[in-house]
Amino acid sequence: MTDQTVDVLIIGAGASGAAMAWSLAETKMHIVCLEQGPLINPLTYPSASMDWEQQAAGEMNTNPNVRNLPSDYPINEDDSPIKIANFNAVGGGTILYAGHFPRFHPSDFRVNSLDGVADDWPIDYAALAPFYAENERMTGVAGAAGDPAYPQDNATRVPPLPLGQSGEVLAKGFNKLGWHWWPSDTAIVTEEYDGRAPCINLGACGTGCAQGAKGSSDVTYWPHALRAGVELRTRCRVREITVGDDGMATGAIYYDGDGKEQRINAHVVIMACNGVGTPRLLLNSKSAQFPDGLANSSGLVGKNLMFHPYAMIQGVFDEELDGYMGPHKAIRSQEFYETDADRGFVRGYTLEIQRGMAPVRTAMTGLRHKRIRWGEDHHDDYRRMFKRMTGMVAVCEDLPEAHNQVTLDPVLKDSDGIPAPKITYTLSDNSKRMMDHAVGKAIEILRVAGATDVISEAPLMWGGWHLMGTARMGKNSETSVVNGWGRSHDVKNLFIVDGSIFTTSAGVNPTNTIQALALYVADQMKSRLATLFD
Amino acid sequence: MQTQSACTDDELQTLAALANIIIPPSTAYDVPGAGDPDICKGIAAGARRAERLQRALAELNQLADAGHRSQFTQLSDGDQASVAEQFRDQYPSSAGLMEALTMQAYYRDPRVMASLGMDARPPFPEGYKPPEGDWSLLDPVRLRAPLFRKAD
Repeated sequence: MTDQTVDVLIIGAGASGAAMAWSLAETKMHIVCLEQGPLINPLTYPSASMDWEQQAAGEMNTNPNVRNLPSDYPINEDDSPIKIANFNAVGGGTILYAGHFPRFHPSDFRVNSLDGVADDWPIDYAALAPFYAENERMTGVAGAAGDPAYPQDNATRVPPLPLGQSGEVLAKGFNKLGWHWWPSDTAIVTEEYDGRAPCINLGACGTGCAQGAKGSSDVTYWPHALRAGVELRTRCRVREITVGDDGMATGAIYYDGDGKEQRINAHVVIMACNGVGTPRLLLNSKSAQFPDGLANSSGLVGKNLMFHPYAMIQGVFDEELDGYMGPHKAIRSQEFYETDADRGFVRGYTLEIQRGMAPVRTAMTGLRHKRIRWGEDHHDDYRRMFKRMTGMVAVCEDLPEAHNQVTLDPVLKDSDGIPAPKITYTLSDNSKRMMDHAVGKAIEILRVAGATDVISEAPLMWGGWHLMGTARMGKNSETSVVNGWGRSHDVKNLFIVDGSIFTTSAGVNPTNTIQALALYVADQMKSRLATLFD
Repeated sequence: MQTQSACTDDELQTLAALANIIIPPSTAYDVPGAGDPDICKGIAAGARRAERLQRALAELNQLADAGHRSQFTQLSDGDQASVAEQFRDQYPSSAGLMEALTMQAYYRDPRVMASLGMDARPPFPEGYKPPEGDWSLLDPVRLRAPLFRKAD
């Protein structure tokens, strides 16, 4: 075991760890980031191979239990109808994400005040707005200004992704109904940007972008952070955060790529391991001072796990649409985003339009929904769907409930012997009513747009992309894990910056907010350096 | 990435027979069946755990033996189709695996892609060019009053 002392230790090189590393780099402190996965050359992503859709179902699957790579840890998700999606590499989940990059709404930070449910955030939209803007500038976001669903912003945007035939068909439908729609803010550059090439519509965003157009944090923040002197160590899996007699974090014990146990000492420890990895590590960091796990005097580490329950609704049309061509996202609708008591549920959802499907996914969708048969009819069935499908997913706001949680599995362990996380989750009645409403409205728009057949799934079993709430942010140390600027209430040199600090989930994809929060926390740290641990 | 299959010749023949039931050849669309030797090699090589594929084929042969006292490949076309239906009913997980592997190998075959009007190539590095679409459709949305709630 080697022993080294650094100023700042960041655990996790995904969305939030990358943003944090880049922002703190200007302090010239010695910053080390430990990442359990590798740094992947984008040119090796599946879309450069004929069998790319097979790889998407296997070694590049979103679910770690299916993928089962050396960099992955197993997750017991038997007690959850929604399975976890993540990726363990430099860039983290942003390697596989679709790049949907909306901001939260102002109302998302005032859920209790406005709707009487859950809790308000300790910060508001105005506090995050400059960090949203900074994050969007660093990432490169395609879209259009002027969306009436949002306050006017100062975002840097490149031209939107193509509307395409799919988007056009649905946009006409939305206009017939008088419903809101807008080009999706998407972290995919449509022109050269910060040394990255523009999108060429590979249609394989979910397996990593070989073109480098998608703003995964390995190609956005990390090149800048590394040039600024941040040290990134890959294939290093942290087992526990260590603490001193004074109750302060002293660093971490981890296993390097050879499986050898190593220790690193740090004056500041920052966790950026996502809404499952962070509580797992905190709960595994037990000591005499912290017998229930680190930073857990509230008992809330791992509690209040929120996904976004997803519904998928697809229409089959007579005319040819975009099919396999182009990024998955085109437009979104937030007609049903804000609370309307007449709908029978609180909060709301975004309808994200999905452009079309590649050949294998078309076949698998048709087979799963019994629209494509085995045998002589297969070819006609298939051709009725190929390049003729478009539709949407509903991203439904999930409210925090203490019984939805991440704990340590008593039996299951990863390849280094570290206890695996166990997920316990049930859908709330509010979520079920919201999904039912979303499916109904999506079918309505698809029919108006001309769909001759509609299929739906709710909830999407493999849709646990967004992992939030398991180390929540708040002003009160009895009802939250970190304060309003990401510092643990219990351990004053321990910070958390991933989705686990979300107080509520909103009804949009969280990555822009995760990274804006990381930049906000970094800014708070830099402005408080002299009194950081007071 | 594809690797060599661990299947025996007998297993590959069983696989080819089943694959041709899932997707038979079509003269109308000028495409081979999924039991085509090149496609079948892809199906066999696509299994990340060869033993799962081999177990599925063994289950198929068990059904053929139980019902007809014969190997699956020795059955008539009608009996093969009947046993394949039993396989789907009684071993849904294995049938799902076979189905997925078949689709993954079939819909990347250059002959099949050409029949669908696709270039027989991976997406990268050439990419695709979907139409831009008519952005004037956004004009009425621009005129809408704000939808978001103020939270001050």
